[in-house]
Amino acid sequence: MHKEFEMTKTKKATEGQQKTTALVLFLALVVVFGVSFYFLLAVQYQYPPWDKLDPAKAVDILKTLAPLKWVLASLIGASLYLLGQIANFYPKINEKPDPDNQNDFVNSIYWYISTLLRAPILTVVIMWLLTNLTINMGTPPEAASGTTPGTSPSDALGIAVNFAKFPDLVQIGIAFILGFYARVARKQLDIITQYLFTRAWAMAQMGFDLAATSPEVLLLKETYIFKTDPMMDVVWTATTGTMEADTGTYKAPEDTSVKNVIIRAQLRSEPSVTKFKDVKLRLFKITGKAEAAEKETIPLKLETKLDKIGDVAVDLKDATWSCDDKKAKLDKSKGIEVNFTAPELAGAAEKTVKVTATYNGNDTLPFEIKVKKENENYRALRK
Amino acid sequence: MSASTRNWSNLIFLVLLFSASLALGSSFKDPPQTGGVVILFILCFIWMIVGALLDLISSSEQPEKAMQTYLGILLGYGILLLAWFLPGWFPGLKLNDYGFQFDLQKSPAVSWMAVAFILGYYRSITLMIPPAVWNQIKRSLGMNEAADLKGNAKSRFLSYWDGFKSILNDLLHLSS
Repeated sequence: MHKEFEMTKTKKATEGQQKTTALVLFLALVVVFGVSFYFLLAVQYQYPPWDKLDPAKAVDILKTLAPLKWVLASLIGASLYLLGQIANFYPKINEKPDPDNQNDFVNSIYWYISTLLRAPILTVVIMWLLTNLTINMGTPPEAASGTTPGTSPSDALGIAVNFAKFPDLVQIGIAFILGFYARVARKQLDIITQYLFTRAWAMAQMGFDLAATSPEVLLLKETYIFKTDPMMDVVWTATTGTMEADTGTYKAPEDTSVKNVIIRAQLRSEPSVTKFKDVKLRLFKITGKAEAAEKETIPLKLETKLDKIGDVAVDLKDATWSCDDKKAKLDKSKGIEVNFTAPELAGAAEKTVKVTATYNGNDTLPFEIKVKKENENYRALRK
Repeated sequence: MSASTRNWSNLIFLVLLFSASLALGSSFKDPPQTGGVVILFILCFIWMIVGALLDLISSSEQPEKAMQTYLGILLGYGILLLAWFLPGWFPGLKLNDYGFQFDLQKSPAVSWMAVAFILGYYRSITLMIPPAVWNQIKRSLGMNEAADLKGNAKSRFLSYWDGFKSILNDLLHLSS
């Protein structure tokens, strides 16, 4: 009882501590927001203390410190985002943490400051790149920049976008958005980097592989959708069967003489980056529980996707079963379904027993059953 | 780099470095003149450090080895220098009759600093630039497995080489 009380007290203290942190952070962010907002107005509309500067000097400073407006706008965006985060998670601090971390308040001042700091740096870099970008489609460069006497960008045919000529307020708006959606800013920088260093980017993604869930064995005529982990833009190929290059949808052949297929995922942006998987192809396979307690009986079944081999119908009732452990028992030696009884374990804590089936010259891959010593509680429960 | 890079001193250092490099970088005249090139490259180096630091203080991924960080920064700096001097060494890369232009010296100073930041921030990508260039060279010579994937038993380069050898053989036979 005393212990329980102590635990409740600790939990309450943690909750109280979190609420205090949230409140302090909230107030600090309000200050950051307010100061940034005021300075942005001061720089943009000559508010004090800016108005005390000599106008000529102020213009000069503004010219050299143009990114200051982006920094301030981005700070406003980032602080608003963080204020929103605190407001969203504050009422949930009392709730129990859920498995999806949907109501977890980030109780780290470091995280808030690094997020607040990341926003203006990324914004400045992206804005520098954007404001030096001119897109001309069907427009002579001179006309697009308006340098030809008597012409303006609007006189020219086609489309010309010069980000540097965007009004100040638009640039401030973009900086605010980049600050508010810091993740979008990061994504945008990813895109720019990917564009600048396409092949190096692709090579850095070499860490991908075929998804761990990819099967080791497939049945003839079986369809399976292969995937990469993480998801990548790849071109799929297979040495046999049919493969949809874009989706990874593979259909195994019907030819019983084919025993394996090599599945290949080739990175579209960097074709030299390729991953392979050797998949066994079988007419039929054994399905069932892969684990059993000693002396436990479990059903095993044969599965196939093929109805006929040439003109001859596939009838797995004639399939012959075998097992590599003499102490293990199969209730039948032939048939589609058999019951397997696990052996008694002499000294070892566990043992692997392999079961195979053969039909008309075709065999399955060994089906491995892990036999474990039975826990007494489990045995009682099973009974 | 150890996990200790996510600490307050680095965070404060980053704020100072960012403020200084922003003030210095914004006041830089465009395009960089002869005397300003050294300053530009000092600024680029600072921006590269800003990029690397920003990544290190905020990344929650497995921390990389210190050597990898330094190597990435050094390589990035080398690439920047190469991009600057290449058009000087090969004037043909500058604006020519075909309209192809590779003269980054005309790019505004802030673009250089932004690219320097990117090279520092994405060090893992920077490290992949030399292998990517090498792969591209190999590909243009047809010496890669992509050629095999397309079902070409022989690479383009080897088939050209075979052709040259047969021409040479025939010429030698004719001359003898």
